[in-house]
Amino acid sequence: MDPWKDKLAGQIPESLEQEISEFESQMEMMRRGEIDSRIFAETRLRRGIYGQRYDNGQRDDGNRIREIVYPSGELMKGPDTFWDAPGMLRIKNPFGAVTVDQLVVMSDLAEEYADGVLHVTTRQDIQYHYVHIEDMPSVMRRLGAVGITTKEACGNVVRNVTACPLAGVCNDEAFDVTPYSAALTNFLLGHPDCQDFGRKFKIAFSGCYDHACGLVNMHDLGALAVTKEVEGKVKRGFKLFVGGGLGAVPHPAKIFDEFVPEEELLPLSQAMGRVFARLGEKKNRAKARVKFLIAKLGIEEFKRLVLEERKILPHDDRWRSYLEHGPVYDEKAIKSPSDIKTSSDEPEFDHWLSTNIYSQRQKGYSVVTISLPLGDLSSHQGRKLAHISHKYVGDAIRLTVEQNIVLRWVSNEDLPKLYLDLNAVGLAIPDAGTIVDVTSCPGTDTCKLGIASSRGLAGELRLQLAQKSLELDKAIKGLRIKVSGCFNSCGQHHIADIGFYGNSRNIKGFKVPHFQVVLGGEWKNNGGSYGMAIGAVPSKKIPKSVTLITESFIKERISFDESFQVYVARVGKKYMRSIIEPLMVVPSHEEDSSYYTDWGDPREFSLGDMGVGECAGEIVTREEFELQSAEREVFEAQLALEENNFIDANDKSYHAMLKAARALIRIENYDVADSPEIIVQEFKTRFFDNERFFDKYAKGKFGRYLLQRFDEDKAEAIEDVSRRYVEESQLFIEAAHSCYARMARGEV
Amino acid sequence: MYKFGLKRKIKSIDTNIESFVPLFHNWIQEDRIPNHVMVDVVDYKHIPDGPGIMLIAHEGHFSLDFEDDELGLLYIRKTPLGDTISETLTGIQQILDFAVELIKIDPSVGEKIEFSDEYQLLSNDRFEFPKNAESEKKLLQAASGVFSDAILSVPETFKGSRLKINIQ
Repeated sequence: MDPWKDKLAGQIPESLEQEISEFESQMEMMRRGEIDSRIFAETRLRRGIYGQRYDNGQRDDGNRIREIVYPSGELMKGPDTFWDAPGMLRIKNPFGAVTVDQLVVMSDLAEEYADGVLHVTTRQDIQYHYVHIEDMPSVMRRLGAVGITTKEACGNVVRNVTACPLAGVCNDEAFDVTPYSAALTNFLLGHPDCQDFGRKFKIAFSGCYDHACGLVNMHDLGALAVTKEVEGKVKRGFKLFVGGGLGAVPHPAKIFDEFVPEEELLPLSQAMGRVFARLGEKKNRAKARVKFLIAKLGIEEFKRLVLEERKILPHDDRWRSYLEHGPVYDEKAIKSPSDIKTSSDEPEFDHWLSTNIYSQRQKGYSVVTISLPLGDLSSHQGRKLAHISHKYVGDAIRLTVEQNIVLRWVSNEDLPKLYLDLNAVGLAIPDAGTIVDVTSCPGTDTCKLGIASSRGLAGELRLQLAQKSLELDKAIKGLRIKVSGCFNSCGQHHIADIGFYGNSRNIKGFKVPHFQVVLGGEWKNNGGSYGMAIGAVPSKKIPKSVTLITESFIKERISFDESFQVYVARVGKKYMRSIIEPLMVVPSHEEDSSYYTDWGDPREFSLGDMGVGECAGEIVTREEFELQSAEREVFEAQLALEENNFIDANDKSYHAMLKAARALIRIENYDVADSPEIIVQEFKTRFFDNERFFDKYAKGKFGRYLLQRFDEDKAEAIEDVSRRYVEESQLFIEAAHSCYARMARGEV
Repeated sequence: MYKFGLKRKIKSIDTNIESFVPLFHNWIQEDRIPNHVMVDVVDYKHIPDGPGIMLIAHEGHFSLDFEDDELGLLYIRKTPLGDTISETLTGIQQILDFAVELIKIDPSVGEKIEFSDEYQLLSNDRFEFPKNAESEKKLLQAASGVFSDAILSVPETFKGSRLKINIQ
């Protein structure tokens, strides 16, 4: 029993509390072996609970592969994933928004349940590592009490909706995309039309095209704010991009429509979800993102199908309700605007001022970037930052896709004081958004798919570049470096000026960590173009490769205006490779064994720690999910019965049958209403009267349990009756599973 | 379950804290900490005011921690260790002192580090021990039973931080 359940009663939205309680039931079912581990894995993923390295019970300790014997023995929390193994929890922060209270609670939880560190991700989430699964309900409740959900942070669903962290204060934006991203987040969270995807679906918003921020070009669905004059009035809308994505093979997005009016944003996204759920690949995980569906169908056919689907969507008031009073995101300055002091006698302050400050559209205010090395913030820093935020900007805090934090609405005269306060807690690190501010995915630190240490390399690069930051040519300083631990591109290496992704090479029987060098990607223009791979360099030589590449650029550019992308394209891949070629030579193990270890890890390098990733989730059909949900409810009915709570047992056993019946009906009538009358009528017509539900031996017996139950006026709340109801419900659900299996085989 | 952490303060150190990365890896290789399922080593030295270098184990984490600029070896217990607060504290102290001894005899760092006799106890549980006078009293009482010869005091800490007790 989670002690926080009672303590936080009434402080958590009812629906969220219900979901957490359901998850606790599913955990109990998993402990008792009453749920398929594949279904449990996808269930926990959809609650943000992810596996991490070493959860398969083995680790290469540098000498040998060791078995890690976790205390719960063979109890699993997913295929090849031990129950007690360390786990990751991803917290969704829609458009990166965080309040002071949320920051305090997230900091507290990191030290109580994780390793004392909050990791900001490249999609504006926060991640905890090394969390015990038994602690997850407490963590989720405490987050829920401050308005945070982890729902659908992982799994094959709509992930965190990201947006430009400057939205609303940006000098270039068409309009503030924040309220739209909030509305779409709320609308699609748990939406029934988005529960049957073959893979995840990522959405991003941007307020302008030229500057990166929102990165709409590399998302499954990207919404770029645009305006259009219609009958003399300025109309808001979005240029919609679809099918973008990085991964092993990056796909630039296709334009779905140059202008989708604001009122069509939600329904069109819903229609897109339906088409993706219906036609997207489900078996081949490597081809299941929407980008592959669009490539297969062609953008025009995809668009036609989405628009057709849009026409037949049942009306939903939520499509427009958020627009009724004008879409507004309530964020206000807590201080008056004031003038900026542009220089001082403090060179460190001036340095910070030159790289970490953005002047807002609103005169007298600035956005301050808090640069976080490797996206990490300790619990102690988090609490202190919350205090500082409260003092200067209130809740105007956002996470960025560059793994930093911004404070918005800083009154300019506060900048010196803010700098001192941040500096006191190690958070006034300069060089935000420069070559020093290296982005990295978790890599081999915690990711099961990591090949090389992206965080180790990023940390080393940051250290070396920071030391010479003030001497760097402006053109070099403006470049961006991004590192991924493998080809999957979570570090977004494709859209960096200089990107790296981890791989491995065999040298005379030894493995050597390498990074593929990817040059010329474009962060600007919303991740406008992708870089080209020029060759793999041993990990330990990557810092030197950065020096050679940047020095060549400065020496060989034909004018001060020539960008790095233009330079790389002009001199070509072959030439760029020739620059780093001397670094590709690996001395033998006897000559220099340092090449055979990775950054920050003294163990001999190996791939023995890799495991099966959970990024792709588990393929569990909507019907399986809904039938499992019915099973969970009958399980809860059994628990209620054990506690002599007969009213609950009766209610839950009945609802469980209705859920199972509805799961079958929805295969044929997707939009069937969630009302007992309609479900029972539909079940009778579609499955009972025609005997499709009938068991070979028991015939219509199990189906009749639902019909009889529906006809009964009021169930008696006594033990014998409740016990019978629970048993009947269990048998009905078993029969629903059988019926579903027969349907899947095409027998009925 | 009582979740506590105990830090043994470090008087002086004449080595880079990165030395603890191979040291902790070695503990895993040689299974040096009894009754712990050791998982991995994490390098957080880039975070000022953070957990430094950590050894992650299922039962509890060890870290060369420098929270509030107070360097020390911190052990944070994550799973139950005893039925009472006293049992838990005693158990944690034994584990921490065992780890300190391991460091002292380590050929790479043993002679470069000097531990003080001071500890800092922290409650890592805002349910059982929210930061208030009542919890403070309860924890002081429990700690005085375990550290009977020591002088106990409650340090000033940042608002919202975990409840801490200095043990001298």
